[in-house]
Amino acid sequence: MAALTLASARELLTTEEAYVHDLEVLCALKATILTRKACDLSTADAIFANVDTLRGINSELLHALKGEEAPPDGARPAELDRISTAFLTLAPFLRAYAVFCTKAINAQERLMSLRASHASLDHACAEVEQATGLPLGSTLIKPVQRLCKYPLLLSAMLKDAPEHESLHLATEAILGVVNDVNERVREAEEREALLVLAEALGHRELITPQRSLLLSVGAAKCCEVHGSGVSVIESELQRLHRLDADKLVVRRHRASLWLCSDLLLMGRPKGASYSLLEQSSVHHTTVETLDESCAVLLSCESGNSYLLQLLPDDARTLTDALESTRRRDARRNKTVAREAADFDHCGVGDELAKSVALQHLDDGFEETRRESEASGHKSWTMRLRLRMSSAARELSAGSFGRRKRVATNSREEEGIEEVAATRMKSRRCSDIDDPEQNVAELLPLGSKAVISAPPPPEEEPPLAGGGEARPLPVRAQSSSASASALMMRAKMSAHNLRMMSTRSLDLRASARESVASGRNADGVSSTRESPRESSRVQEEEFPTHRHVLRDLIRTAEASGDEFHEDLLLALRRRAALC
Amino acid sequence: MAYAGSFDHLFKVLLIGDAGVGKSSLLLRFTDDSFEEHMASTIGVDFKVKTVVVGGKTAKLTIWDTAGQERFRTLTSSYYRGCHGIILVFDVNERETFNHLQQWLEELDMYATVQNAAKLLVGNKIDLQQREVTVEEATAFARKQAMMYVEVSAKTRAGVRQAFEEVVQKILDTPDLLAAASGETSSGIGLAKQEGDTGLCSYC
Repeated sequence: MAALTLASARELLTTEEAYVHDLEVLCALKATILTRKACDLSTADAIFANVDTLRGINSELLHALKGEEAPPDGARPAELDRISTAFLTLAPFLRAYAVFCTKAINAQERLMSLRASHASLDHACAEVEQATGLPLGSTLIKPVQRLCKYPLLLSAMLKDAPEHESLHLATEAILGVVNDVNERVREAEEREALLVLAEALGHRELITPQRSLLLSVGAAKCCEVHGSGVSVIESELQRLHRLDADKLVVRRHRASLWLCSDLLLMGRPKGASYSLLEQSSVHHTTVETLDESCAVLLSCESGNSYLLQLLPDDARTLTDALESTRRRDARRNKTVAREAADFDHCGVGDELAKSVALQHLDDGFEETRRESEASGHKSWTMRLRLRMSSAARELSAGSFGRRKRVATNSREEEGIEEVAATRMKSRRCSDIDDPEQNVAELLPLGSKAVISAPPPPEEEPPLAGGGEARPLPVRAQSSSASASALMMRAKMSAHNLRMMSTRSLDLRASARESVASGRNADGVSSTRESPRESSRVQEEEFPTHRHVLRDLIRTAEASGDEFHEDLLLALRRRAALC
Repeated sequence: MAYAGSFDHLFKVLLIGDAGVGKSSLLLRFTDDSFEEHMASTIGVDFKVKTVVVGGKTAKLTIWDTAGQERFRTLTSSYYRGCHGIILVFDVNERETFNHLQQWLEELDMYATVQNAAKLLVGNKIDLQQREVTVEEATAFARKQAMMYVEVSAKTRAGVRQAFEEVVQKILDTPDLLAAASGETSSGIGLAKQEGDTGLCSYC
């Protein structure tokens, strides 16, 4: 191994070695538990998640950091180049940590209760604890900690070499990945919270793919306002202040408010669960703080009003959160409407298109993020939909580019794992330049689609259907160094879309891609087909279309993710139409 | 605990507080002269292990440091799980770090899974002589929150050992925590919070 000249680089390497060893310990334990049949596979997965994948990724990272093949002169630039290249290459794969971190939320408790009931499992765990000298819970949390440390380690190195450009890039890339994993774990938590709430309320229909629970607020006192007008509210307010909170807690006036991404729910405790009092769209709900004791007037969609006594912080929090949720939901609806209109325009304005559009990212994402940062408010105020990496977002400038991505979203971790596995195998092979792998790196979130997509149902290149659009790849190819990457994106998006449905979509997507790439503005208008023409093309391709839909349905079913239920439904409906 | 060792108890202790208040140096100062899991460093520390003897009992501490990772809030919240003791650190020379303590306490309420974890307030960097928070003020705040207050200097060593021993003593004095340390942690997600006495809380 080349001698590392920077202390910060040495630290990175030493700690990485120790960490990979920890991962190996965890993998070995998982294997032991499974071979001894101490618990079943799904239980082991719930605790150890994809620790094997992480080991693969981090062994690769360690290998790249060590750079054993490099000449052993250990010059400073070479060392930092190697480190930044290692991180830039492997950053997309580190997204696989989202799986582990999501499960880590409950892994420790789960393990605790399992050990109490499974003697053989407890024995295997105790052996590891003996060997490491640490409680297993601490070893299990190490991957979460390690991920959070990479940005720190790289920043420390940047202090030593502030001019190193690719180290800057690597630091940014890692920061993006960790932020992304953080957001995705939060979304998972919010979805789980909604699930728990819906169960507690006994209203399972509250669970939809787009909805999550953002905030819960309890009210010590609550009374319904009968009638309207200032005098009514004033007298009700006096009544509220006279209410004795202690007595009311055990009677019927206590209430809880839950703010979801599009709804405000109000319930009151009923035994161990809750009963639902109100369900009101965020757009038809107002919360107004009436006095300094934080009595708030809540007006619901149903026309009912309530006076609630909240804590000062909660009142402010609720008002702010309602406002930002309303704005965000409005933005999302606008996007959906616009995209639905888009779909209609090109002749496929059906349920599939709309349901897919529903799941799109907010167009106002960047704006929301800025607001959130500017307000400096506690992190929950903005539940940003950071489902995609910034790289993928950049690529998705054309709305059609998003469609396939949404469909593959739940598969992305597996996709990454698959690519990771492929990379492990081909590490020393010269075929590392395989274009598919390049695409996978450019577009980690779509990697599954690239790697495992069935061969295109037809042989012609994606743009051959519309003669006018044909020059695109040629132009892209010849324009600059990054042109080949752009073309790859265009090709991939076109390929995905062909799987999805008709050629008219392909053409429009390609047009969008090219608009996004900003490289052939002159080719745009010519690629537009009239709706009549596109429907003709659609008819010709029905067999393929049906075949593709079947594949998609199978994929969505196999993913088993409730997130895709809407999509699945729409796909089935679409298949029935064919 | 399920595995043998030359200690009576195994406790998990977490250091929290604003960035720059000296959590890492406090930790290193405390553990430095004992054995180390990893090489000495300010970033690479996952956690340190240190065995202390308090009141005739040997307690093995795993002390966790969240330094610099605060921005990834969802991820770091998992560190709070199963924590027996929490050392809340602020810088006596930086008023702002004292003002943020309330937020840290809320965070604790939200994520800590062990009920009544032993809490200790630590004012660090008393060697600097640019004090913005008085002993009286910090003590009053700590008392309101049912915490002990200790002033330390990681630089001069003053009070560091006492601070950690204080936490251990408090854990030892709390039967619930000892039960938790032997594996009986309670867990709950999402809505458990609303079932408290007041019903006043927020989910983040």
